[in-house]
Amino acid sequence: MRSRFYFLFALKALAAPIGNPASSAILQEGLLISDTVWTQPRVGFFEDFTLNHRLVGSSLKNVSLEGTSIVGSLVWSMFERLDIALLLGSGQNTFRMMQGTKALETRVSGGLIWYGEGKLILLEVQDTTFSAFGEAGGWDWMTGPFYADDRPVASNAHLKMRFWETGVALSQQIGFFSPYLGVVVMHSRWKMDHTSLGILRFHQKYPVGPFLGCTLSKGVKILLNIEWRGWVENALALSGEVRF
Amino acid sequence: MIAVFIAASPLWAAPVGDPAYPQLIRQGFFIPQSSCIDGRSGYEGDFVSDARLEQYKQGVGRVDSYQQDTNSGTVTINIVNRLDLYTILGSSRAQADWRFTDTSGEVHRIELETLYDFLWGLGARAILYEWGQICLGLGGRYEHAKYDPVWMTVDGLTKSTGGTRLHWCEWQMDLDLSYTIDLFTPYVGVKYSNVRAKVGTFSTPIAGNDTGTNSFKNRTPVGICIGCSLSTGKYFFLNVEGRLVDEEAVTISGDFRF
Repeated sequence: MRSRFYFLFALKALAAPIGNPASSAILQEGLLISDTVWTQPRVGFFEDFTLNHRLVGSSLKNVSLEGTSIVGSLVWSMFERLDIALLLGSGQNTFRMMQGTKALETRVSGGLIWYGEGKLILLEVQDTTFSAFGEAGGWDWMTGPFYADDRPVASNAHLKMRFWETGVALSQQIGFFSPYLGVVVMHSRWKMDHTSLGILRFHQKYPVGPFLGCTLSKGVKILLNIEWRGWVENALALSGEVRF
Repeated sequence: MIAVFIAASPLWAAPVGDPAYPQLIRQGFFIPQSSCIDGRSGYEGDFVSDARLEQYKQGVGRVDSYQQDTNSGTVTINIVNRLDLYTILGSSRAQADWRFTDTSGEVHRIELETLYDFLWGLGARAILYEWGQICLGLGGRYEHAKYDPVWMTVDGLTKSTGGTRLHWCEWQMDLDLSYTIDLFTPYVGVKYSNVRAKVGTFSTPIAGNDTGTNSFKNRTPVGICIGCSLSTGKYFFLNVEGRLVDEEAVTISGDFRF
């Protein structure tokens, strides 16, 4: 049995798809770069479906968010233990909330999702890995209509978001499959302006939640992943990565 | 390479599929591998979260949201492991949300949802060039649906939908590159699509010229698809695909070979 310890350094992260925190150890061979080289890049693609993300806002009740996003990733992997990644993408979000008896809704789309991510394998024992991860970034320049009681009340609302998240996960390799289970701590802040109600601010209701997923790979060149996140939000993500 | 197309009437921003489909499953259940023609059948679930449409003819402005869920069966005829001719038969529903400014300058919001209705499509895909594990493929597809609205609201107030229809059609062409890595065949491609939809005729105005009819088309004709198939080369494959730029959509599909 071999075991290795790596220390955790804290990074901030997002209400965003996480992926398998052990993915740096899953792909052992790449397309072009020899597996003896200490560093190699990977590219990936995430499609994320947020079914319900609960938020809290001043003077607002029952704030809920649903949305979809598509993100591409560029990962720099080192020693098959540490991943540093930049992720860029776009998507859409629908917010619903109550202010007194008035039902408010806005549907914003476009803009730029940007965030950085770090994943570190802390401990590896045979086919089991214990990893930590962190992400931090934002979503800028989202715009869309704003409605009060289903009537358009502003030309276009503008929205931006900042978030961070961090967590740990346990992953077990079983043949082609690498299921994982973890816990994430996250914080997100949203600011909406150009509405008829002035500036609206939200933050997320629950800071801690579980996530679980499964990666499919033969350890060579490519992996596919499916992930569910709960409690903080109900969300599903599909993703794939290729190692060069 | 043959593409099967029909002149435009209603249709969608459609799935593309893996360009390596024609040769992904080498061994089927019944038909011997040496046969130059074989058949496949499968499922295709297509979920468009934003079709990115705009109003035209009767008005201007974006369609704020256009979502579509389709569950279909597919039947494919494969010729010499190079060409797929296929049909799509399924059930689909749409949800649309748009704003318009009437002739008095007031802004209104329309929301519309349809029942699950019949959707059909025809398509073809061919492997143009193969080099080692790399395939270059060309595909084309036409789809059509005619929906019955189940409800419609104007500024939150329910309006009658009696006798109205949402007609939708799309044609699409795509050029894609795939690379087989063991069980996996990831692919990336570019597509050109033409989407047209017409909704009406309602008794209440739903467009900028104060008529009960409105027409939509896609804002951007060119988009990107990215996906990955999973197969051992025997009996069946599974596929997942995302599409972006001209629409936001995900498709999950699977086929087995006879």
